Amino acid sequence: MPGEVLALLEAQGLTTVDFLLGITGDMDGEGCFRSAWLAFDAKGLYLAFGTEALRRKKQRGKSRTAAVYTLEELQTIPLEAIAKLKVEQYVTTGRLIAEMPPAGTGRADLTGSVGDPSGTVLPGSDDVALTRFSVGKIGDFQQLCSCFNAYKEGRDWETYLPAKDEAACCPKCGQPFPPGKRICPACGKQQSTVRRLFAYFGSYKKEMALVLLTLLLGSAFTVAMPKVSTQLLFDQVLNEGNANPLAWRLAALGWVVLAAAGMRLLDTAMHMLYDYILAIILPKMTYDIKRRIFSSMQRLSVGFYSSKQTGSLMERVTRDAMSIYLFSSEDLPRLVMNVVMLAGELGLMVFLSWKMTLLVLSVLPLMVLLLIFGDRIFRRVHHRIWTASAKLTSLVSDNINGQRVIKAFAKEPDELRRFEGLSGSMAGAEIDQARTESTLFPFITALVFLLSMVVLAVGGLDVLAGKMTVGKLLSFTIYLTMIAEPVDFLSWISNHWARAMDAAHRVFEITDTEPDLPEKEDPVQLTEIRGDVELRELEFAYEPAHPVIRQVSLRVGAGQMLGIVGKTGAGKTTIANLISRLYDAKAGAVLLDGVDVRDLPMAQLRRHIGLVSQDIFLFTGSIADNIRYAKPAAGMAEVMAAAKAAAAHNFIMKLPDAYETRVGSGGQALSGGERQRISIARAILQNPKILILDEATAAMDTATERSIQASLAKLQQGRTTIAIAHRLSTLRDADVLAVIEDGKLTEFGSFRDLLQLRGAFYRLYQIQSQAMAQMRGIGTDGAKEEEKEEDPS
Amino acid sequence: MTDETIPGTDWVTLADLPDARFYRNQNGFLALKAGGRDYRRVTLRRALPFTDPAKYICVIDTEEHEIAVIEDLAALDEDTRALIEAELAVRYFCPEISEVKRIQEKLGTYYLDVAIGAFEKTVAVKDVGKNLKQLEDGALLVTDTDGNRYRIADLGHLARKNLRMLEPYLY
Repeated sequence: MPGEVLALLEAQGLTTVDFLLGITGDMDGEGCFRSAWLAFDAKGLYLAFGTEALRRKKQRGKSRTAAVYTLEELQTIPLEAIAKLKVEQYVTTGRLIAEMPPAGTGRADLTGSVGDPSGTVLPGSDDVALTRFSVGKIGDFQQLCSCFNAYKEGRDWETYLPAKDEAACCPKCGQPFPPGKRICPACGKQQSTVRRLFAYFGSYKKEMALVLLTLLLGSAFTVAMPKVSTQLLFDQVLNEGNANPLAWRLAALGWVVLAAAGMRLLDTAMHMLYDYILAIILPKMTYDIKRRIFSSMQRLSVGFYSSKQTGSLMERVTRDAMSIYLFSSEDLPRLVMNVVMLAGELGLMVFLSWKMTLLVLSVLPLMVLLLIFGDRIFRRVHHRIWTASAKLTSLVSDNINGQRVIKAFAKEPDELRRFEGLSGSMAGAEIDQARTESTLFPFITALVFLLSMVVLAVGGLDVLAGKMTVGKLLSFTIYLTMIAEPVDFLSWISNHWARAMDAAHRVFEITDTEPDLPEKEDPVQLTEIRGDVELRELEFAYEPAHPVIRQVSLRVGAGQMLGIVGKTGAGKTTIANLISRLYDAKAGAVLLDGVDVRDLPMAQLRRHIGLVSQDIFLFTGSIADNIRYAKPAAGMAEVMAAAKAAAAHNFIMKLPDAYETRVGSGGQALSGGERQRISIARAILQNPKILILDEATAAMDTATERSIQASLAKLQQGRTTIAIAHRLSTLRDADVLAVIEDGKLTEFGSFRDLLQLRGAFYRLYQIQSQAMAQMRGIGTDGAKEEEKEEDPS
Repeated sequence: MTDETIPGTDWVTLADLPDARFYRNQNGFLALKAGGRDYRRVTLRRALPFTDPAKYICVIDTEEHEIAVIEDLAALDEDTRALIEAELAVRYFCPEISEVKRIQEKLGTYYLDVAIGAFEKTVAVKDVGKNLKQLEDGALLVTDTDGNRYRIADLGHLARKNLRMLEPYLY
């Protein structure tokens, strides 16, 4: 809460120092946008509404904007009048609701209308709406509720206060960072991006100096060429009325030609040298950038990856690094070269004839204007081509990936039509580009030509009047055509510059992202992990305000097997992810042997937790390598034993290349059950203390599942197993079962306990056993797959 | 991570069957007597056909059940080894290419004119990225469009001219 508001509240007679928690809202009870401040202390809950406006203020001589607050309304609700605070969430807004205590105890303070005349209290009838807020504030409001409720119940409310994040603001400008980032969008942009990009060149200072030197020398030779080859030739050697003897003139001719050739050679040599040096530095630099992005990406959590599109990440590693490379290798040296050449050429032109140079310079703005105009058109056309091509690419990629669906719905002609449409618009854009090119460039060329004609006329007059030599005039016209190139270059380089800076910015965004699962600085080192897992009031949300796990507390002893059942989307997988610390809990904790997983070193934790998840990923490589992934040093005997335990050995041996069959993208196609078995073998070989099986056997027939269960049962000694499944048969060996409904733990106990409870678990059991009873006599689940298995290949 | 083997797996090696004896049945197929049973026909499969062809060979009966694993061929007596090697040679038949004479591309298919000893053959290969496979020991495995396999034992020992011809297609 801002200090000014506190002062306003003090003026209303409140003692704000006693406030336990204050938050800021942005709406009133009617859903109108308005500043709101909420706080509570030992006496009650205060809701203040008012306005907040930005005014310019003079402070210490500097003009700054500052917020000015006014208070319009203050509601005070005594603490006794509220039993509980809660938040209801709508699509884009939320509402703070007070649950009133049972009838009679001061409820009239709030509204007189609540209460049921019949005397029975319907659920929800004790709810009173306090204020609304936009959905972004929901975290703050939820916190207010938790703190308030805890305080009211006499529990330790301070645990719900957020941890103060000191470094959450940009040290330069004081603005808070955007969530999950550590770069200030205001300060982190342009300039520092350039500087940081150049910092990559830093390790190649010597080479860069050499590149610059060769560039300058090369440009100098290019610029000086016409002076020697044209002016000297015409004015000293070929001019009429030259009094020197023919032999001298021949020798001079030879010298001039030789000098010109020598200069051209030196120029080429310089070019080669700088190309050569750059060719060595740049790939190294690009390698460095790519490596940095990749290693930064390895530090980031699963949450980061699910929030970003795969394509956008891959683009950063490959394409953005490439555009930085292209800019540094092609454009940057040319930029230096062209600036130098333009300066040199203009200087020499002034030296030759300042009058004519002025004439040229007067036309130059027109040319620049024309080029800028052309650049605008090009940018528009380029953008159209780019978007058309991007759409086309994604259409083709969708089409390839979705061939099954397209064929199943006989949509080939429609797909073709879509392709034709997009491809046609791309062709149209390309025609536009070509048209603009073929109009604009001849126009510019003609302009330069016209200009040189004017120069020729003016210069010719001077020559006739004897004020200027023929050689000077000729070399001047040559310089005139030469400056067209740098001018042209400088007019479009800004485009490339912007593109490279954009790419660099995206790259730095990745390398600057702080890992959101920080490793503790002095982690607790457990010498031995027993495998006790405890969830303590665990809460989690993937997105703020959408809680997925609410207040889950349970314990599994070392060596026990916990089964988790629940409907799809109940939060079972999330629990698995939290235990293996792929995400961090929002509140509460996961304890391993009594130690918070956040206090354990990440490597140790992951080594002792084996996770077989629903979506199985096989790396490109052999089956043996995939099984060996967690333990690369494992011998073949171990790999085969693990595969046997996972019931994978037999199907693997049927493949012609057995354990050396290549899987992953472009490799042997495996069925869902086969992939699951490989991933189970991977977890078994890892030999973790805690094994989490998240629907690990869902794609298998019952017989295979049984055989895996049998071998897992043997493996379970001294190992905690957490199995998540829909099929209750999968969990028949579980010591304890947990039923998760809508993120909450509703039932917990042994198989027998839960059946006796006659709750959700019992219903689920009944549904499944009924289904089995109906199927009896028809055949068993997965019989078809088994047939395939038995078929000798 | 400490224990070497994983407990509770039914891991039967040939050493666990002291009475195991391979022989050829009357029709010339490989057979095995072991554990008091007579397997009239057995199949051999390598777990690591490329990197370690002499180790981890599974002995499988006609019902697709694994009887035992031969951990190392070298540990067997000479006669048994000869029997087994002969059987493996049948299953893993893979002619040795001694020379690549010419490579031609026609519509995405590569035709390799090769010499296999004194015999000359044209091998058609599609998708060279996948079907010309370099193995760890420097050998090259060539799989043609029909699924036949050929080997070049050591790329390094191939004549320079051959290697230059192959190089653009190796990944």
